[in-house]
Amino acid sequence: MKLYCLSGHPTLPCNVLKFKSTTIMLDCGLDTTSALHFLPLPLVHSQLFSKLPGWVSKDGAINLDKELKECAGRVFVDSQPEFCLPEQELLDLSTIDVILISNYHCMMALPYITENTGFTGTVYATEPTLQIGRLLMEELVAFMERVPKAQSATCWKNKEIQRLLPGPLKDAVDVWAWKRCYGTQEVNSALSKVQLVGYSQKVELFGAVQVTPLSSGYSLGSSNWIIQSHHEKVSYVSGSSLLTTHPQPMDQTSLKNSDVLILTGLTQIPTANPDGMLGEFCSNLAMTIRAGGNVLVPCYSSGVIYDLLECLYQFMDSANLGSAPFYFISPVANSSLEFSQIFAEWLCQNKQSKVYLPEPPFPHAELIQTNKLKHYPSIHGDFSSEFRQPCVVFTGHPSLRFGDVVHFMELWGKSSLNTVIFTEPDFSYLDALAPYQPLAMKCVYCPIDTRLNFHQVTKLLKEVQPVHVVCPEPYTQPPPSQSHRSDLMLELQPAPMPYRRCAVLSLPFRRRYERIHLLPELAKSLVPSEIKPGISVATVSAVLQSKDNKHVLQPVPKAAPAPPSKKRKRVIEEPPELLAPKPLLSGAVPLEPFLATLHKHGIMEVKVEETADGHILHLQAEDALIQLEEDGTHIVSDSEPLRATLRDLVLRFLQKL
Amino acid sequence: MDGDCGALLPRVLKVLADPTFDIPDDTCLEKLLDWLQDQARLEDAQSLVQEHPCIPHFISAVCTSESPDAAILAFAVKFTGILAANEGAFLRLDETGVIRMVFGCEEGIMKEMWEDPSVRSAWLHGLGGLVQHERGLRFFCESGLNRVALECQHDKSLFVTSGANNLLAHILNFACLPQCEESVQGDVTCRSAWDRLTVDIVKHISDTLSSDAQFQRRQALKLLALTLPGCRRPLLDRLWAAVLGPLELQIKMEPNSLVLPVMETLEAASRTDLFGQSDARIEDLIEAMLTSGDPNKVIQSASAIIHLEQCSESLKRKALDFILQPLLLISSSSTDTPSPVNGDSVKVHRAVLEGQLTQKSTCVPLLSLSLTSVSKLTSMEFQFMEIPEQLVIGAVMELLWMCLGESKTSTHLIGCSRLQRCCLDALSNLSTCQGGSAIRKNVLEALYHCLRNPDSEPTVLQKSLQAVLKWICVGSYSSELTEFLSQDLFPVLKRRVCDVQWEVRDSTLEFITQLSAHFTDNSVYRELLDCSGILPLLLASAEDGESYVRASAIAALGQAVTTLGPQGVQDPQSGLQDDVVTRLMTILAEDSEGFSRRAVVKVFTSWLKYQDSPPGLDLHGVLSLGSDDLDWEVKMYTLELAEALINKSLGLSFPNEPSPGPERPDVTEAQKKLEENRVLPVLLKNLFDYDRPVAHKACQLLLRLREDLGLTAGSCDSVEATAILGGGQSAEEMVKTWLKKRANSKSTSASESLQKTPDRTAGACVAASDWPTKLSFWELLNCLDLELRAQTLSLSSDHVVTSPRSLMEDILSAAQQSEDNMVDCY
Repeated sequence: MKLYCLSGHPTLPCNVLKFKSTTIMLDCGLDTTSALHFLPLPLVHSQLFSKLPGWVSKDGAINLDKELKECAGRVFVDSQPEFCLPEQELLDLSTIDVILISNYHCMMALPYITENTGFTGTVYATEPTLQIGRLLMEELVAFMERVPKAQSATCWKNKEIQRLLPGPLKDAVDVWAWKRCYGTQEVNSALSKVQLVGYSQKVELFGAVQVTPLSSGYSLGSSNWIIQSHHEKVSYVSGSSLLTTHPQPMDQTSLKNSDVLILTGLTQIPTANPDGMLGEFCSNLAMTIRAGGNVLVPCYSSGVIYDLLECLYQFMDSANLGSAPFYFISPVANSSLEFSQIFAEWLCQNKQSKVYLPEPPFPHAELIQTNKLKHYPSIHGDFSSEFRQPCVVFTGHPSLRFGDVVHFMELWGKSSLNTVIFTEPDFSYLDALAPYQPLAMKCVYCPIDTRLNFHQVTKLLKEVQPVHVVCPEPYTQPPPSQSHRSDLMLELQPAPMPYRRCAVLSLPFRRRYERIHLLPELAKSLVPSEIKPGISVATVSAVLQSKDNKHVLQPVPKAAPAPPSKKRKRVIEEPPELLAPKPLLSGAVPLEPFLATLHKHGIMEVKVEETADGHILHLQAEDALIQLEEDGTHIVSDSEPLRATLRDLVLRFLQKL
Repeated sequence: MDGDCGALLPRVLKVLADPTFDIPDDTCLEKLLDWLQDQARLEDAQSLVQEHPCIPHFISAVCTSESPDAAILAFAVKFTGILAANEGAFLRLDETGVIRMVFGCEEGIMKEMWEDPSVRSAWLHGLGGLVQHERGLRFFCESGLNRVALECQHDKSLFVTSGANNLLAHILNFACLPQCEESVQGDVTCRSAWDRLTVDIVKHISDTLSSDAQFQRRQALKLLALTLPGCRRPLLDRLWAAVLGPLELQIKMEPNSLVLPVMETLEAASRTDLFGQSDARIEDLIEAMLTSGDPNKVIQSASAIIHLEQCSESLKRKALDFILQPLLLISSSSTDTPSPVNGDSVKVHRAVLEGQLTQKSTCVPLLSLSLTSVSKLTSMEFQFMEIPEQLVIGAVMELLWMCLGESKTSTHLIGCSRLQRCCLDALSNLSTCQGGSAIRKNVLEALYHCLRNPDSEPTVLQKSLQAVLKWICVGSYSSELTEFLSQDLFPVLKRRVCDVQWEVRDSTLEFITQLSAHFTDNSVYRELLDCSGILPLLLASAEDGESYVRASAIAALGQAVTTLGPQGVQDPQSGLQDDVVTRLMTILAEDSEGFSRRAVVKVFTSWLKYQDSPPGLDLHGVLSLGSDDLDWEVKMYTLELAEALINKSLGLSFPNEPSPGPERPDVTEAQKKLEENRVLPVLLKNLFDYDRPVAHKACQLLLRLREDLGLTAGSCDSVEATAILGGGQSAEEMVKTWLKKRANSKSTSASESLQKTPDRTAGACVAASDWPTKLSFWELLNCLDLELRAQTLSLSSDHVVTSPRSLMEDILSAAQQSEDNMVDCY
């Protein structure tokens, strides 16, 4: 069993498991942090970004002023942002049989895997994962296609040149794996390969293994996966949460008794408690609105935003936020808000029960009804005529490099009354803000990551007790910025197996058993004999047939009649010769009764010698030896009749099968 | 005893003695007993028994009854004890045989009812009364009650054991009672009786202390602790010699679960004459308490030792080491500073302690105990002896950093709010230490991190704010403080004012109020507050969804306006005061919750007290809204506002301020001012309010007004009645209605009542029927019978219900009802 690690990112995993002749890809996350090295894509003409100087090396030898621009003391690539793909060279992607998706954030690289790689397999995901994943992909495509940039920058990626660039561009890794965003067609084609599954549904893969999605409690439709054969069980735990937010709670019990547990997607901010951060978010928002400023919340169009809106819904009355409108701007804002309300079966019990009242499960429906929350596909159109300040704007993309958020950063960045509140933990907020400096608006970092923290995961692993744990390398040591925090790492016995990008791990566990079926007619011919109370054994002579990972024992075919003609072209496989099996002996020879028997048969002089494994009996008069050991009995005698007599005496004490 | 009660008593006692009577409520017996005890104290108990033969009848009736209620029997026994405390009454009751009947527990009804713990407890209480005099003591001895009392000391009911302990301690100290000293010294029979008793009791204590049962040892220790403070030689020596051995064994016992009772006993012993005596070894025993293997127990003992007055300095220093050791040990592990607590005594202890400090479950209680003891130490004179206070403060801060996750070691304490609370309490108390100002900056930094931490609980935040306030007050104002306020504190306060949890918003607003009050005279602070951007947030908070928060925001706004003072406030640019006044008036008129409206009136009152009335404030509007409010507290605060206004108008001092001078204000002038503010109609209206405290306050104010103005007949002119009564109908109508009512009730005309008042010279007849168009201030106040009204209003509204007469009538009516019910049944 092998694990190919195509991504080293702990929360955007992409691993391939080879197990019992199947090749299973576990998630295909897309690392978009590479976009931070690019200039933002403004929606309207930007004074700030249109007149930036190009970058020329100090000695003037390298001039990349078309590709690189200097902005706020840093160098950015001036082209359409590119994303870091999972490793493509480690294994032939066309050999992948299935892809299991655990949540919509972990499928954003799907078109890169399934399109133009020869992939012919199937993708398994739950319905909310597919639908919301589609929305996020469509949004990403829309962000890119709305402001097309013909130019593609590649010169800077040259190793010799990159080496001379200023940081952090100089230190960017795997830059040749960076690719531009896919298009709508690729999205549609990739998603057409998705087959929907429900929680606890068992899906048989080629008769070899069974895969089952389990609720992971992190987002709508998010799942962990169980991959098991009859005798082996591998659990794949991706983004999971034990907090009570909107999704169905995590199914922990089904993870028990795993031989291997692949653990990814823990919280990215282990020191920030989501509840505390939610409180910070609300108080900073209220403080800004009360002082007459605007609040910008760069966020994804699905996920934590539902919880943020719910929290604000509860808080707004007591905080007296009644008059400030909330705007949600995204090409998929409407679909996201509506989808969240229709996936009732995937929600937590509390929200599910609302549907029967009937009430919308999320309170944002009421915010929309009362005109408190308005949503628009973009800043163009209706929004520009209805826009009122002070207000709260939720919009993407959280990297601040593309999407409507770029416009608001430029619009509000100059006033200290306004605040930008970062809630998504995927990007370093300081890097995200870098091209907008100097900035007067207040910046607040309240990362809300509801995924498991180290304390919770340690407790979980204690309960489910996997034999081996495999996890990304960063989880096996404290974060570099807090090297003293030994509580912020996985400390397990035995130690977890760490992986990094491009690693190939041989999982430390040997398959020992295989299930084999007996055909009824063969079973009928068996003669079981009881060796211990309740345990019977029988010898079997049969032909083992293995096909499609199924093994069947069939009766040995009778010898075929003589071939009618000698002109056959193919040699028919000769059925094996049926030999009557020799009887098998079992049991042990008890010393005292055996000596008594010898005595009865006239063998009087027996000297017993105790050895490490049993006894040696010297028959002194007969000059013979009987060696009684745990796993064998030897009779040494020159006289054949004596040997035969002694053999028969020994056999009296043993069982024959 | 007044006549009514005296007449009711026999009937009540008869009812109580009736075995079929079902007591409606246990508390009525307690109340009756309290009243009877007062009577026995005020009057002579002997005459009480003589004048009310129903009393001995009642007691003997209960005692001879076949199946009395246990509660009634207990009542009768306690009542007998109360009476028997008087020697004369004792003799009288003894003559009737009642005493023997009640206290002879081995026969009669007492024997039958002995199983009931309330009866046993009452018996011990009663005996406590009985042994107040020599005859009582002799009766106690002769009847052999000593043995039963000693048995009761091991009773399974805690009430009984406590009663027994009190009784036995009282008997041991009997010879020291002033009223008994003479008889014990002089009377040989008495002396020998008492001696015999003490021998038995001392032996009992000594035996029990050596017992295997922990419960019994605990009771013996309690009895010892009760006895020692009043015990004198030679009994004291005898007692101590008897208990010293068992006490030593108890102290050495592991695990010692009786640390606290042992310490209490030793504490009591240390206050006696034994302390200086070397063979009594009290200090040795106290020191031995520090050798227990359980660090928690050691700290408990050490904490008690520190507070012992008599104890030697060296022992106190040793105890201090034990208290500080966990704290300094855990903090020095992260700072690598050597601990000053390194005496031999604590070294043995250290290994156990270090083990406990690495486990969260044992570490938290240990450190909490250490911190609580440190907090208590700060109130003591010697504090930390030669251990530098800064080191202790530093250790507490280090622990706080550990809880915040900012320390390089001990990650097991991160987020422990129980410890954070203890640390913050300790830090608050340590602010009074000398040399605090040198480390104020560091302390404030740690506290700021608590305030900033998003995971801090509301109580932690509240304690952090209180600690900040205390530390800000340490030392003088400096630029360092300005920096802290402007760069750290105000930004975090602004966020906390908008917190999701209302408790946090509320404590932050309260803190802002206290901070502004502290810095009222500080111009730098005023400037910082003005520029901080907090004021708009306070205004917004006045519309918070939670009424407590609104009330706190109003108080904070009021204080901010006071602090910013006339200069800041009257700045036409800022317009703050106008905004505040408008907002507060809206709240007073429209807010649905009493808390906010009360806060508004309080703010206006404080403004009026400490500065001139704000120009935009319509005081008459406030008074009229406040006095019409449905909430009685708002009306009370409105009257306080009226009082402030009266004082201000008349140039009088406030009750708690120095008087400006002896001159009386010009009456006409004063009257004019009050008319302007239309205060009198408010007072008159409230005088007839249905809420008694409101009417009482209004009445007091009117009385004070009359006195302060020195009003007499002819000292003021008659003016238009409407001028005094404010022109509105309500006050005038109320006065008229009241006069009419009074006239009817007294069957005499109002004018007649006015005629009776002396010095009536003005001639105007103030009556309901012919209301004058003109009247003087004095006339108006005079016709209201203010003194009588004040007296009526000063009685609490339940004064009738709580009177003994009412109590007895209740008992009688309950008896009547139960009879009626019986009749109904058939």
